[in-house]
Order: sequence, then C-alpha cells, then structure tokens
Amino acid sequence: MPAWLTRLALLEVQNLTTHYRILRGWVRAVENVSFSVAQGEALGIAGESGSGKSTIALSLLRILPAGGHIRKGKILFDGTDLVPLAENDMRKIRWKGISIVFQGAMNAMNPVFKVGDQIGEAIKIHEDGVTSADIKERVAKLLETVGIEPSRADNYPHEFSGGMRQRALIAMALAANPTLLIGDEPGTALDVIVQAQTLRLLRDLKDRLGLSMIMISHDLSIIAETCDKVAIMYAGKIVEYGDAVSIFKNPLHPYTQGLIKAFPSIKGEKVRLSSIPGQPPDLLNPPPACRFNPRCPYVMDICKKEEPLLKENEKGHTVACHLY
Amino acid sequence: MTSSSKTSEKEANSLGSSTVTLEKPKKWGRSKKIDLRYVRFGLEDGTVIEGLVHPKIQVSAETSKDWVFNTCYLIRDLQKVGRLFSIREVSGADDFMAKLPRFEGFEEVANDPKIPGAPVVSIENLRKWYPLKRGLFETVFSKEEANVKAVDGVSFSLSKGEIFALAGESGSGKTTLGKVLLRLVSSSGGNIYFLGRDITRLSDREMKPLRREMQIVFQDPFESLDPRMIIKEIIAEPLRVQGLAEVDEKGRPITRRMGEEEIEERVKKMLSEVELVPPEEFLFRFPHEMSGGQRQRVAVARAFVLNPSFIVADEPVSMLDVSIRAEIVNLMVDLVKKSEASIVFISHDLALAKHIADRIAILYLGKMMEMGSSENVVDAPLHPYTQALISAVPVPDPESKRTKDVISGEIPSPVDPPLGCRFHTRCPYAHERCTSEEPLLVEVEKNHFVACHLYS
Repeated sequence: MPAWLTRLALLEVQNLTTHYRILRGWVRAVENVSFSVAQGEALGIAGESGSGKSTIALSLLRILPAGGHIRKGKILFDGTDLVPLAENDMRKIRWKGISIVFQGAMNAMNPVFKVGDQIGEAIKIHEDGVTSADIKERVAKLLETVGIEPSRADNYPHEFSGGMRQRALIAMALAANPTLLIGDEPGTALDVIVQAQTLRLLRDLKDRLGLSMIMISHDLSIIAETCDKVAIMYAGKIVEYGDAVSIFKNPLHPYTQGLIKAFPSIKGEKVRLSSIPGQPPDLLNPPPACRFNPRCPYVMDICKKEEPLLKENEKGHTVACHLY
Repeated sequence: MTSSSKTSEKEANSLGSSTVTLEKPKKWGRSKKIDLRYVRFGLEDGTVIEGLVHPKIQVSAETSKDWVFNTCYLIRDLQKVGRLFSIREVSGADDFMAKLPRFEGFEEVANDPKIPGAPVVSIENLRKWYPLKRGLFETVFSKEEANVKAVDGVSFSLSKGEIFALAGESGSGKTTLGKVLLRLVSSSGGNIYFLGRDITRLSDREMKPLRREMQIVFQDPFESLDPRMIIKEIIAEPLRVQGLAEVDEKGRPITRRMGEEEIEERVKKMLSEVELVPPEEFLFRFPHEMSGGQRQRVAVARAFVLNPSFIVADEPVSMLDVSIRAEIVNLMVDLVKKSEASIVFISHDLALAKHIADRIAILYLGKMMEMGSSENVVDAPLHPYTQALISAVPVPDPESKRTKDVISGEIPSPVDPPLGCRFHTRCPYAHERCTSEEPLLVEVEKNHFVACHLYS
C-alpha cells in the first residue's frame, strides 16, 4: 500500500471481504476492499445499488444482517482490529468510536419515544454514571449543534419535518462523541434544499469537531461536495480510489468515466445524457477477472482472463484497470 | 420591410370585424348564447387570417400570428367550433360572411387538430383542494372549511411533441397536478382542455375513449407492474381494453377488438422499441425476473403501446441507478420525438430536467413560480425560489465553490399557505408587499414567466 494511504490513518481497512450466505451460495457483496481514513478526513464511497457500499458500512460496525459474514480482512480502528473483537468490546466501539447516520430519515426513529429520549438513550448506554440531568443538558446541546430548538426534545418524531428528523439523527450519531461518522446516503429521500442544508451541517460539524467521515452515496455530486477522498465501487470492488479532485477531473477507470458522464450537471450546455450500457452483474456469479468487462467499452482479452489490481497511476490516485 | 408593405399591412389589419351570435349546443351542457366576433386581418407577409374569436380576445395591429395560433388554437373548418372561437388562414378575401348562416349543428371538435402549434393540453386556473377530515364539533362550530391546497390556480398549455418539466420540492403539488391533468383525480376548479375539448367535467364513460390518448408512467417500477402478470399481458392490457383505433368507410373513427396474433405482434414491436431484445425472451417473464431498468422499460412500453398523444411521466427515473437512468430518459425522449407525443415530465431533479425538457415550470405550494425554456429557467432563473433551488443542487465538481447560501426552513403546510406570496417566509428579498399581495405570473421576457413582486 502506498505510503500516503497509511499516514495518520484513524481507520484502516485491509482486504475486507464480506459475503452473504443464501441458499444458492455466497453473494460476494464486498471483495478485497482496502482503504483508509485519516483524522479529520472525509472519504466518499460511491457506487450503484448492489455495489456493496452499504455492506462496507455495516461491516465496519459489525452489524451485518443474518447471513452476512466478514470472511477475510482487517478493520484497524485506532490500531485495534475490529474483526476478531468480542461482541462486548465491539459495543464499546459502536457509537463511541464509530457512529452511523442511516438513510431514510423518515423511518430511522422509533415513533413511540420522544426524540430527546432517543438521543439520550445513546448517552445512557455508552457512558457510566451520567445523571439524567446531565443527559438532558447534553441532549439540548446536541440539538442546538444541529440547529434544532432544544425545547423540541420533548416532541415525538412525527412532529418533526423530514429535514429536522435527519438533523435529529445526526445529533443522535454525535451523542457519544465519536471520532468517525459514517453517513449512509444521508441526503437521499430529502428535497434538494433540505439536502443542501444537511450536507452543509455535516461539513460544518466535520470542521468544527474534527470528525473523520465516511460518506456513502450513489450521488457523485454529493460526494464531490463533501469529501476529500473518493473510492468508486463496482460489483463489490473498489475500481478507483484517490483524491477527489483528481478523480473528478481525471477519471481513469472506464466505469468512473461513464458514471461521471451519466450525471447531468446543472451547469454547462444542454446535452444528450450518456449512459453505461448493460446492468450490474449478479454477485452470486460475478464475471471472471475484471467484473466490469461485460459493460466496458475498451474491453480487451486480458480483461476476461486476469483480474486487474489497484495500482497507483499518479500520486494519490489508484485505479484497477488493465488500460494502465 | 418596405414602406409600401407597411401600408398594405395597415389596410389588411382593418379588413373587418363584426359580431355573430352563436348558440352553444345542448350537449355541451347548459345552453348559452355567446357573441363571437368575426375578425379578419392581414399580416406582414401578405396572408390574411380570418375567423371567429371570443369577445374577450382582442385582436389588434400588434397581434402576432403566433399569438393568434397559440391562443385561438382551433384553426379549422368553420363548421366546427371548438373552444367557442376559431380562426383560419385564407389567401385572398373571399365572401366569408356569406357562409356564416351555416353555423347550425355544431359538432364536437374531433380529436386530432392537425394544426401546427395547437396545444395538445391546456389548463386554465386549475385547482385541486383536498378537504381535511374534521370531527363533528369542528364542523358544526367553525365556519371556514380547511383544505389542503395541493394545486391552486395553475395555467399552462402544452404543444405537440413538447417535453414540459414540472419541478419543485415534495409537497409542491407536482404529482397531484399530473394526476389531475389525466383526470385520474377530479379537479376542484378551473378547466382542462385536451385536444381542444373541455374534459374537466366529462363522466368516466365519456373519458374512456380519450384514455387511449393519455397515458402515465409511474415512479416505482417495482410497484407499478402487477407481479402476477407476465410482460406480454402487462403490455397487451391497454390494447385489450381500448382495442385498435380505425376509420370506417365513411371516415368515422371506430375501435375494433384485436386478435391474439395481432396483439402479440404489437407487443413484440413495442418491446423492441424499448430495446428489450429479443422480444421473445421477455414476453413470458414475470416482473420479478427483471431488473429495475428493464421493468421501467416495460412501463414505458405499456404507456406508448396505444400511441398516445399525451403522457405524464411521474419521476420515472428517480428510483433507478444512475448508470441506467440516462438510458431510460433517452429512450423516453426518443419515443416522444418519434411519436410526436407531448409529455409532462415530473421531476425534482432540475439538472435532469434541464437536459431533456423544452420548457420547465417551477411549482411551490401549488402555485407556479416560474415558467420558461429550460435554458432560461436553469441558467438565468428570475424567481428567488428558483435561484435557491438551483444553488442547492449539488455539482459533481469538487473544486466548485462550497460556501453557498442555502435558504433556511422547509416548505410550509399547504393547508394554511402563507398570505401574499407563498414564498415570502423563506425569501431573502421579501418586503412588505410580498406579505399582503399575491404576485401574478407575468411574462418578463419573451416566453419567460415569473410570479414575483421583484419584477412587477
């Protein structure tokens, strides 16, 4: 692994392989994924649905649904490997070390508890010896951080609008002062204006609290707006990884190029949209060698025989493609 | 233009205007006498336009030909009067008035105005209010009725082959408007004209033959296709319900039931048009055996199988993956161009709307805020709300300026929309007038309408 990737890494993921067991075999959701996040850095993981990006988030927190197994690899968080960790020790990492903002702000909260109590619950569980007065005070502070009137802590989730619920979820994720925040599609299902408000809030929090972030999204423009580093995933693998500016300015992998072109930009000329023909592969039987070869416009013989490895093409920009 | 033609134009303009009284036929509802004005006026290029116009329509020397064609959209045989006015282009001045006594048995306007520039659909001041359910106590003691004003006075018209995008936040009423346009839900006020005919108050039975011409593509292909039907049946269903439109020996339109082979032929053709090839492979599949993109193609095929002239596409690609999205959008644009259908494309994604639509209308709380060509609305937005919407759209460029202003707050409740301009609670430029007086939609530049006090 190149030196710039390992420098000051808060989180370092090495060859993570997560599969789901189903009746017909193993679904290879994530294969041999390596990346790192430094202190105060934001990494964006982009990809289509089914590319394994949410599975990475669930693997990091070890909250995979039934059937999901981490089969290989290391997740080094602050120096400790999370994969072999006992469940009890893992609980101490969750929320205090790594926390997550789930997608679907509308359904991620329990409708029968007050918002303040739900946020307070995270503090109560993860910290010993806090009094309920302390909790109340901290919940009020958290709500203020995310821009919600502290008096609204006594409201139920249905009394909140979509944007406020998303903010409350962010407050909840910040409750136990984590060092790494994962956002799993935090802007999706929100209106553009509310989405922009949420993204701005996340960006501010990152700068203010020195948080490290992993942003998971299918929307390249959201990642471009919030992240310093980008990993592009296709069919369970990272195909391109590096600094955001160089990936967006100079995409190397044919999939990344296609994805960026498929995105209509609100700026610039009116053009006919281009698309990537075909569809993502079935992860039960992924195509041999390069998984993108059936859809790739530059496919060569070698792409069907040999798997391309992530290679550093220029400083801070690695790509897994035989073209380079 | 030479000076001689200018004189002739003036002369032509004063060709004539007189009043004719027409009786609206009984089958249109209440019988009503309307005074139509007969006008004939000349244009710069020497053509003379003559016809009947509604008294409210003022034709003057400044009137442009396009305006006449767009507003008085039925230029047809004068024996048929559609929207109570009609106008036609003639060369030379023949004895027009002599024909007038023949206005007796008015026929309903036929379904296919073959006039260039005539709107396929036009709506005037359309409203859809949903009454709020209230308890007995409130009903008895409070006088005012509470309504959710989902669509509140929207007007526009859609010409043939046009792609018209309706954009706005959720709760702006764009989906409701789409449904009202198709008469899938009834309107609470205003009028809908479809191919020159007022369909606002037609019964379901009267609507059925028109349904052939108006179709919808829904948002979610996972829910809009019946999981128990095979693809062939899904696409064949409109054909079985509506039959095949034909013309009999006397030239009257009839519908004929289609035979099994004929239906299969048509379904196969449609499948190859939506690029599900080879069609034989897909005919007998169930929806669950297909990917999201393929399912949405089936939904598109089903909408286009009857060759409709008007389609509402309600966020047709928002549930699909980015890499497939462009394909479906391009497919729909191509089909629209090929079949010359008009399409209302409902989308919250302004970037997408800009690239495919001819015109864009921005809705906010059931009102139209801005309408114009897609370049005008997106690249040079006038209304503060449109400006806010556009600056909130994330740009796929990490180097673009990140510190942009985002307007605060969220869309207010449509039950009790803010008085005056509905946007004033969030508008950075709001002043006193905005809180009391509702701005009207006015044409600020050519074909660029905006409802904002900053421009009036």
